[in-house]
Amino acid sequence: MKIIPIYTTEKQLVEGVLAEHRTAQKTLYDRFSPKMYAICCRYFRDQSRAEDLLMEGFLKVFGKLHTFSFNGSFEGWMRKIFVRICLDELRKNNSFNFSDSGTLEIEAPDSVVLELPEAETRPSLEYLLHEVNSLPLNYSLVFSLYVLDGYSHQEISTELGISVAASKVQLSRARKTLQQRLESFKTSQHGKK
Amino acid sequence: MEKNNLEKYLSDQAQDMETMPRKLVWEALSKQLDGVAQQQDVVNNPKAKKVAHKAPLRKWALAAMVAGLLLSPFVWNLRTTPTDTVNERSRTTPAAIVNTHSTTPTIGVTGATIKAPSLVVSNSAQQLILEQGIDHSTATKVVAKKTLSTSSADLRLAQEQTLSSVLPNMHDPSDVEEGLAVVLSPEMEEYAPFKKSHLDNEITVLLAQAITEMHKNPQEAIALSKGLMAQDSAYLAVANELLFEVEKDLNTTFRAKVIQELKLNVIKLSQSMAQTPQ
Repeated sequence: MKIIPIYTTEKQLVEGVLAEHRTAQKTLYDRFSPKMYAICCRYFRDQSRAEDLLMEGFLKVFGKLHTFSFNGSFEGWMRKIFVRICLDELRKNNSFNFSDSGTLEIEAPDSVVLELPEAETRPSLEYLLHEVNSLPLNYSLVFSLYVLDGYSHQEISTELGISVAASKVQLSRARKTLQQRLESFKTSQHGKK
Repeated sequence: MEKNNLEKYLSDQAQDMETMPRKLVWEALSKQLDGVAQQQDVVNNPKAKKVAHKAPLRKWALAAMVAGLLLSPFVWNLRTTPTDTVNERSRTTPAAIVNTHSTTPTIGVTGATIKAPSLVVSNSAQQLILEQGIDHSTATKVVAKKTLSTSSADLRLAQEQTLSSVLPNMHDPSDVEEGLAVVLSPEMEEYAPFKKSHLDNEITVLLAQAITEMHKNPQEAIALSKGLMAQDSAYLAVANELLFEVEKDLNTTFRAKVIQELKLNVIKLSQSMAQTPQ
């Protein structure tokens, strides 16, 4: 009879992974892989590439787990690892270039307001995310980091190697573009009605 | 720059958003984890890799040792089969062994140890014994045909019987001594550098030694053959014939040659002493 250990708490799970128990590793993977894979899919639409990054991310998580101090959220810690892996991959491929961002003027903070549409006219989440991903890469990158992954402009500037002001400009432009698309979506919805 | 309603909505939704990866991802990840674990083992214990490389060599060495040990009895059997043992002994064992002992047991002399002969005569006699050696290979071959299941007690009994019946006259060295008494004529005795009694004593010792050796080795073969053939009259007849030949050989050739050799040596010695200026 095989005894399968049950990891009820995150601490037990982490300790099991640190002891290199395969069941603990599998449990951790099963518990967090859907969310982490969603992050990878947000940055890379190619499925195989996203899966490669998922594996790479988990290998890094298992390897760096001893640095986790249980002070914050374990999931948040893992998210940062996966986001960083995705950014590294983009950087390797020279996918983003912020060389012209410094020349742009920073727009007023409240110049662009993205209002959540009413439930009746609200587009689906998939549509919204699709619109975000279809933005120019620099815009969508800063928007994703700031809005979806909870990075501050300081953190974004560090991760992407740009200034804080450039990060704010990219976010402002992303918002403006997204607002225009949502307006057109509303118009099309009203036209259908 | 704070998040507005839409952004908060997207943020909340993104946190809970899940996409199931394919199952093969875990399989691939599991293989990669195995590889990482092996690499860590090598890094943590560098000797483990060397040992792992040496392990096949050790296995082969151990296997060779075991095979050698297992096959060694067969090799021994090939070299020394039971039949070969007897034949080899009959080939290698001299019929009359050259005396190399400083002390030699004698027959008929009890409680006394007699020194080995130091005269030239003694060496010649020993050489003669060696040359004269009795060929008992025929008897041994007969023995070899039979199985070697005979017990040592039977062999001893047969040896005793053979000693008492076949060679009764050879027990006493005085028989030969009588023959040697004529060697020294009164003329020679004058020139001899030693006394007659001393020479007699030496001859006695030498003959006793020779007879002892003669008894030791031929009798062993005779005893073997007799012991084995005791149950078979046909074999017994052959053994008796062989023993008779041995006895005849001893009584004629050996004794005559010893006496002749001794005479020649004494004559040579006397002549050399006579030629030496006083």
